[in-house]
Order: sequence, then structure tokens, then C-alpha cells
Amino acid sequence: MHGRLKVKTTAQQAAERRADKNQKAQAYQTAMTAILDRRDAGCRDAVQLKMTAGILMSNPDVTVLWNIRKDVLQAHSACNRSEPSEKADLADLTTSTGLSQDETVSEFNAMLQKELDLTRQCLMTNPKSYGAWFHRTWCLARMQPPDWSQEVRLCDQFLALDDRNFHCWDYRRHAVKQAGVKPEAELACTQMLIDKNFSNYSAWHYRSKLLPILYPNPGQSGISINPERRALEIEMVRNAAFTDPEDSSAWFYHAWLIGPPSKISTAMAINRRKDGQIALIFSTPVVKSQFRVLLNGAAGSPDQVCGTRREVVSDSLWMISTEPSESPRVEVYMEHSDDPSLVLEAHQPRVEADIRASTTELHPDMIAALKEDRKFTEELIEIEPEAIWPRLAILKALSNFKFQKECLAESLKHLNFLIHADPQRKHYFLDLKSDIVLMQKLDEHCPKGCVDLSGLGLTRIAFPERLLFIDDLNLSNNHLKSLTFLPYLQNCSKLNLEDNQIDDIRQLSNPRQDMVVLLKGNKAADNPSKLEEIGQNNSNISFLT
Amino acid sequence: MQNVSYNYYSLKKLEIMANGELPKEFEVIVIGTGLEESIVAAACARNGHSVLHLDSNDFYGDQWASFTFEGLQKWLDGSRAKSDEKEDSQAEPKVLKDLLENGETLLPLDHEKTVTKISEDFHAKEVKETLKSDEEEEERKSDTPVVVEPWTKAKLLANSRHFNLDLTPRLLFSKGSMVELLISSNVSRYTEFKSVTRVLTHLNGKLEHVPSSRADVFSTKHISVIEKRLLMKYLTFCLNYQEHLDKIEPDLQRPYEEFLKKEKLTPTLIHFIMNSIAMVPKSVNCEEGLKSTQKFLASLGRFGFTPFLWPMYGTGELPQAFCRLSAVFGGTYFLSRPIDGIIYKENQVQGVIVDGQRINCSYLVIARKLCPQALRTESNEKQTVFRDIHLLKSSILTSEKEELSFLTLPGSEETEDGQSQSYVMEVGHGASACPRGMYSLQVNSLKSDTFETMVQPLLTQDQLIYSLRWKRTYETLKKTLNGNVALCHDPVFELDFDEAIAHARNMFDAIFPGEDFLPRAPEPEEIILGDESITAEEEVAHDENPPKPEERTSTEVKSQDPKKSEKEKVEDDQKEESMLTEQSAANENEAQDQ
Repeated sequence: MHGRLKVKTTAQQAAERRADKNQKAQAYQTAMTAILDRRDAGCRDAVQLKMTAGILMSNPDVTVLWNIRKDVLQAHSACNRSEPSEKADLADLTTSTGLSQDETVSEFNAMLQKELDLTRQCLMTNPKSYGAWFHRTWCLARMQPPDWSQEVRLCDQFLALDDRNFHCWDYRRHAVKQAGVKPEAELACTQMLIDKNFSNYSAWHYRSKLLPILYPNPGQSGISINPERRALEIEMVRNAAFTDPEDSSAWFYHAWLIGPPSKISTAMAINRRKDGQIALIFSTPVVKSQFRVLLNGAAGSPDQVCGTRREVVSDSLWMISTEPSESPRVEVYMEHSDDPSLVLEAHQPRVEADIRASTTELHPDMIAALKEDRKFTEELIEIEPEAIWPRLAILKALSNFKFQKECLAESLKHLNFLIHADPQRKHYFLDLKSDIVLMQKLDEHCPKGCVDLSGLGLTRIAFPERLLFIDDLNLSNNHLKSLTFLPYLQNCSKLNLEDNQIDDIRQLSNPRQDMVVLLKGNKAADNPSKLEEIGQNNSNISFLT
Repeated sequence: MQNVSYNYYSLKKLEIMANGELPKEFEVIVIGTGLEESIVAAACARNGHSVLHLDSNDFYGDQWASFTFEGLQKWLDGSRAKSDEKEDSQAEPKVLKDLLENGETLLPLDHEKTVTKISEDFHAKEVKETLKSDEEEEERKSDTPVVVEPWTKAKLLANSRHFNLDLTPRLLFSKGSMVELLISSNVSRYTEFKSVTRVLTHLNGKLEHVPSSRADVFSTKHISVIEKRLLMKYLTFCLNYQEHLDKIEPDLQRPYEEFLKKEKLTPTLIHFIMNSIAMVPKSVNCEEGLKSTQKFLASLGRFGFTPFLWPMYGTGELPQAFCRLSAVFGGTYFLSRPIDGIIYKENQVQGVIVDGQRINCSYLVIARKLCPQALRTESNEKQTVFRDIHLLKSSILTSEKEELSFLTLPGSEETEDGQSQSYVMEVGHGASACPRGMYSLQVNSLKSDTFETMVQPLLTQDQLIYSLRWKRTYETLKKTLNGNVALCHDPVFELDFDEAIAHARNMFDAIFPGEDFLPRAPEPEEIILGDESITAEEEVAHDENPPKPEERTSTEVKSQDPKKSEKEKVEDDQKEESMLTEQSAANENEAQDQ
């Protein structure tokens, strides 16, 4: 075999690799044991730093090693601050004793700088190492002064390597804040990254955080950026959407741009029942601290106001317990407001706010922008009739108009298409369809008396607030699965749920008033013993099967 | 397991170096170090055949060479003079005749003059220096590293080493035949590339970016969103148009342009596709057009943002890379050797007389233009390529950063020839083509008036530092092997190297039928060196003075350590490599998504 060129076979190479791996694993075990033993023995010295660095360079995800390093560093900084005598242990770390304050600081800084070099090296091997990024943050926080702009540049480098590295994005936001980088510069950075590759959720999202700062819209509450800028952004994202209609990152940003202005919750209605239970309805869910209630001009006890679902902190329905005989005057104040949003006089059983005027009107600028954008999206659908995202975008835009009558047919047309085109998300689309139909029926106010919502294909009750004043509700022949809307039925005495898909009826075991429930044609009706049990425990409720 | 007896040739090399004599016989003698010659030499040596590779030039590459500025000047002098040279070689015919046997004749090499009409212009005038002082001041203030002194001939020569100017500039499609060959043969380890950063086109009297990738399409401001969608949709369709053959069948033989119109593409988009993406003339049919479009698209997203690569330090690096592989596998190389002639008998080449020494061979591979007329069996119509090199003070389309640009200029409609476009590349300092701040504009055209009609309007007189123009004739051959002689093409007019590689491959297949063409060469670390695989007994048996056991273990330990670290390095490299391939795979997916 002399004089012949021989090549290692793959089996040979594989064996070598395996042996190499075993060797590495063994080296790791030995080093880890040694480090942990030394830690337990209280060693906080340069050797410990060196040993941990050795492992971290090849595997930066060993959190305990980073913590050991922090411990060593902290010990060093603490002992520098106290008497010099204690520094004897750390002779390896401090070259001379009796340092002045400045020298101590600069020496500790130098140590931290070494940590930064180490984390940087570690991040080169694994750019998504939590431990390395955290350690960097920890070090920077202790440097005097920390050079955060250096860190922003580091982020530039790592984002160039992987423009969707969320660790880096996270660190970047922190570094930018600390370094005081101007939002203009950050916006330019997102632009650069998006130009390179627009499939970048992080960059688009970052824009949605920067633009309201740079281009605020002070005149109109709720619309986050000014109309000129929004037009530019819509145009930019439209370019992405037309280039690749299947790319979801652009459409998410699009949805934010054309989305409704963030709504400020208002008190919508108050209902007083004969048993003294007062129900408060808000236009969107609120937490308890977002509103105040005065009863006869005085603040009630905090426990008097409570939610209906234990696990839910933010809700649109809140209950106030009073004695049936009291009938107090109820005033609801929203947070930071000195004028009551809604007042229920002592003699009134219910009151309703004029919601239409307060929350649903879109600014004319926004309406114009939406209409123009819809035109483009429709053109896109014409070219790409099979695409999912543009149709969802149209639905989103139409929902801004609160499903006005003329939008209904169009919305349903797109939904019917989507249900067939994207069967994996069929139920999501059915839910949307159900919401549209329901919204049409309930039409922006709380109906009273007898309401028929039967046979509409409802899969859920999206706006249970609207059910507050109904006496007799017919929901039969739908596809309802859950009774989560039940607490909102404060006045209902007859509930027809026949021919739905309701299985779980635990909600019925806690009724607030006399109620007749029709359950025929549901899974729950197949279990008469369960119904009986509920009926026995609650005299209020009766089942007609 | 690769069986290449390479110690044998190493010994021979030592012998050659010792007394200047070449071995008396080689299986294959290759004359000329052009690309095709070098590929064939590499393929032969790689499979263990003995190869002698000769060139009478003192540089590699022949018509494929890349030069420093001084080298270019020397080449120009040589090309201007070449016709007078012939007489020297016949000076001592008697001495050579003694080397011939009965019935053999000596055929001197032909030196066909293929390069003509050389015209050279140094635009910078010495006088300007005094006039320019105001500008200079400004330039100094602006603090950019702009060279103030005008680029006179003297100054160009003084900066000679910063130039790599190509006689035959080419781009590589990222998924083209050259890239695939470099990878499959592992010759890629000797080469470096830069991505072409932008594809330009001449539209409505201006130079514009061709949106050729997804990112380009997104960010371009020159086309509407509707056009963007139409373009992306069309390009996605082209990526695998074969799946829709039933729909397009009736259109396949009709003009491509008509098909594009039928697909509702706008005139701007049609211009982009015809000129810069498919790079086809107006006359081309739909099938050809689709194929060319697909070729462009398939190369997207593999390396960089355009489908093209540019060889660092010039195209001349590529023949050299193949020569290097050939040399690693025992090929013997001799440059600037006078070749006295080819020994010919009964339709067979017997050997070559080099520098007064007879060397026999079984096969002769030779550049067409060097081949004696007597050995040529076919004569085809000569074609002509027009070449310009312009050195510029600034890019033809200025940009924030240095760009590597590729521009296709459409052919005029009256040309019947199928390849009437002109290829223009603009390369800067980043690709080591010229000094910092300068650009080298390379023009390849089949038409004599491309410079006047299409290139000159892009340039201003102020911009020009140096212009060189020449004309080169070439001939394409149909036969691959004639007796035991294979003729290599001159560089033909193409963008990539498809024809050169195909022809080199055909020559090799004809010489050694059934053999693998350039199988992957092992990496140095995959080669078992010395006694690694030899068992202890064998070693004892072979080694006359086995070291004492203690010594041996100690040397082993010593020798193991650096090896280990090297292995680790290799593993890291592999990791990196796999990361890269993953990345490119992701890119490829993206490209497919488009």
C-alpha cells in the first residue's frame, strides 16, 4: 500500500467522531465536578473563572457556570469595597493591594470587560444562548460607565447574522434604551433589515412600537400614528404583500396599521334586579381598578363589587351586591375621570349609554385610508384568488365598520371561501362568521324583551354584553358549545337552547333568577340524572326536555 | 479509497528539479494552460494518469488569463508583435531532426493570431494636474480616500499589482455548471468568489436595477405593486414551468415575448425578463425563453442576492485552480518553455520536443490556435468577439457602497445571431480587480459597434482613466478527438463556462472512456499520511531501526496533540459548513417559495 493515496472511510470518520465526542463528554464531566467542588469549598478565584470559561466557550448554556462567575465577580467587587485585608484570598485577581477608589473601579471594569469578551465568544458559538445574553446584561449593569452604544453595535452584527434572533432583538431594545439611541436611528435599522428580508416579524413589530413615538397623532385619541405616516407605512407593507402574499409577517403589520384605534372602555349599561343584584357592563373588559362605583354618593366597600368568574381578572361584567330594599343611586366613574360615565337613579331598574356615539365612529381620515387600502387588497385577490391573507385583511378592514349592512354580504362571501380554502382553520372562520351574524342581529344596542336568535349558525356568543336586558332568549338550532354567556343573562326567565352542542352545563348550577331552560337536542340532555341533580340543588332552575 | 500513485511522481519531480530533464514519456501531454486544457489535465492527473502540462507563455491561462497592469502591457506588446516571432523556432532544425525516428515528421506549433485591432487610450493628461487644484482641495476636505493625482500610465504601472484585469471575464451562475464542477471535484478549495451585488439594465435611457430577488422586488420603486405581484407570480411559475406543460404546450414554439404579453406582463416587466433575467434576444421562442428564465431563477438564493458569482482576482484563477489540482495529483508543470514541435507519424502524434528534449506521449491535448494546421481536420467559420476594458473613476451607477454590477445590453434586432446581447461587468476594489475607488468595466460583445452605441453613452469623458479595446476571433469545433489529438476551444462567447466544461468533459471521455470525470478530491485531512494505517508488525518489518518503545510512546504523544487540535478545528469547520449549507438550504427554500 505504499505510495498510494488513501482516504479515510466514512465509518472510520464516524468512529473518530464518536471517540472525540466521548472524550469531550468525559472532559466536561470531570471539569464540572471539579468546578462544583471548588464552589462548595468557597473558592472564588481566578482559577474558577478560567475553569468555567473553558466549558462555557463550547457550551454557553450551562446556567450554573454563569452564576458561579457572577458570584466570583461579586465577591471581588464586594471585597474591594471593604477592607484591603480581605483581599488576600483574591491575590490572583488583584495584582496589587491598597488601590485607590478609581483604580479599584477601573480594575473591576477590566474584569467585566473580560466577561464581555467571553460572552461575545460564546455567542459566536451559540447566538441564542440565554445565559450568555443575560450575563452580558448583568455585566453592563455593573460597569462604570457602561458602554451601551457598543452593545447596540454588537446587536447590529448579530442581526446581520440572523435577522430573526429574538434574543438579540430583546437585548437590542434594552441596549437602545440604556444608550439613549434615537428612535429615528432604530426605525432606519428596521427599514434596513426589512429591505434585506421582509419576512421579519421582529422588525415589523419594532416599527409598530417606534412609529407612535416618532409620528404621534395627538389630536385624535386612539389612533396611534398620524395619517400621513400611516399612509406611507401601508404603502410599504403593501409592497411586501404584493411581492409575497403568503408571507404572514407583513400581514400582521398590515392588520396593526388598518386595525381599529385602541378602544377606551366605557360603561355601557347598568341593570338592577329585584333581588338587589346590580350588573355593570363595560364596552370592553376592564380590571377592577379601572373604574369606581359610588352608591348614594359614597364609595361602597371594596368587596361589594365583584366579578362573575373567579379566574378572570379583566371582564366586561361586574356585579354589585346590595340589599333588595336599598335601591341606591349608582354612579360609575372610569379611571382618571371626575365625571360619572353612567348613572342609575334610585328609581330606575336599568340604564343604557349611547354607545354608538362614543366608541364606534371612525375618523374620516381612517375611513378614507381603509377604503383605499381595500381597493388594493381586492386587486390582489383578483390576481391571487386562492390566497388566504388578503381575504383575512379585508375581513379585518370590514370589522372596523362594525359590520354595517353593506359589508355583511362581502364579509360572508370571503368567509365562505376561506372555510373551504383553509379547512384547518375552518372553526376559526365559522366563529368569525357567527360573530358577524350576531352583530347584525344585535345591532349595537342592548335589546329588551323577547329575542329570537335561532337557526343562525352561531358557534359562540361574541357580544354577551348585549344580552343583559333580554327576558326571553331563543338560541335554538345553532352550534353553541358553551354557556359562558350565561352570567350576562340578568333578566332572562326563558332560555331556549334546543338543538345545540352543549355538553357542559355546570354554568346552570348557579342561576340568579327563576329561569326555564330548554335543553332538548343537546348532549347534556342525554344525561337526565345530571339535570335532575342540578334541578334539585337549585330551585330557581327548571328544565323542559 | 483513491488509488493514486503519487510518490512516484514526486520522485520524478525531484529528478526534474535536479537536472532540468523531463521524464521521457507521459500518457498525456497538454499544451496551453487555457481553461479547457487545464480541466482536462486535472481530470487526467486526478485519475492517476501521468500528465505533462506545458505553456510557452510565462503565465497561466493563455487567453483566459488575468493580468496585473504591467502584465497586461506585456501581453499587449506580445499580441502586437506575435507575427514576427515564428522564424526563431526554425533556427536549429538539424539538431531537432536527430531526435526523430524513421517516418516521423516534426510539426512546429501554429501561432494563429487571434487578437487584432488593439487600441489603447490613457485618458488622464498630465496638464490636468494644475487645473484641478480647486477640486483637489475640495476632495481633501471631504476626507474621502480619493486619489488626487491623475491616473497617468506611469501611475497605473506603479499600482500595477492592484489590478487583476481579465482577458475573458465571466460570471458563474450559482447553480451553473462551473459551480457544480468546482464543488463536485473539490477544486473549490482553491477558489474564492464574490457575489454580484446588482443586476442592471438600460431602460428608457437610464441604468436601472433589475428586481431579480424577492428583496429586490419588495424594495424597488420603479414598478407598481400590481407589477410586483405579476412579476413574482410569473417567476414562481417559471421555477417549475415543466409542471404546467399542458397549459403552455401550444405556445412553446411561438416567440417568448408574445407569451409574456399573453401572461399580461407589462412592457417594463417584459424588458426585465427578456434582457436581464432570461437574457435572450427577441427572436427566441417560448421554450428557450422559459429555460433561460429558469436557469437564472434556479441560481437565486444560493449565494448572495443575485444569481451570479465573480471569481476573486479574476477569471484567470480558474484554469490555475484546475492546474493546481492536477499538480497535487502528480501533474508536471512547465511554463515559459519553448515548444519546438510535435512529432507526428502515421496519423498519430508520437510526442513533443520541448526545449530540445523529446518526450513521448499517448495523447496530446492542445489549444486550437497552437495546433499545427496539418493536425486540424476541420475548419469552421470564424467568429469574432469584441472586448473592452475601461478603468473608471466612479461607477456607471453610483451607490452608497461598492457594488459588483452586471449589465446585459440588448442586441440590435437585425442581428440574426442567437446571442446578440452584450455582457458588461463592473468590478471594483472589493473583488481585487483594481485599486480602491476605481472600477473596471468589462465589455464582451459580438458586435463591433457596441462600444459606440451602448457603452460610451453610459460614460463621461471625466470618468474614464484608461480604455483598451481589441477584437478576438475564435472557432468552435465539432470533433472532440482526432486520432490521439484533442483540440481545445478558444474561449467562446458565453456568460458562464457551460460550453468550455462540456467540451473539456467530452475530450476527457474520448481519451479515457468510462472513467470518472473529476471525482471529488479528498481534503488533506481525509488523507492518511505516513504510517497511520500500518499496523505495528508491519512497521517493525519495514523499519530498519525501530525506535525504542519509550521513545516511541513519547513521540506519539507529541505528535498526537497538534493533530487533535487540528481535528477539532476540522470539526468546527464542518459545523460551520453545515450551518452554511443549512442556511443555503433555507435560502433555497425561500427561493422556491418565491
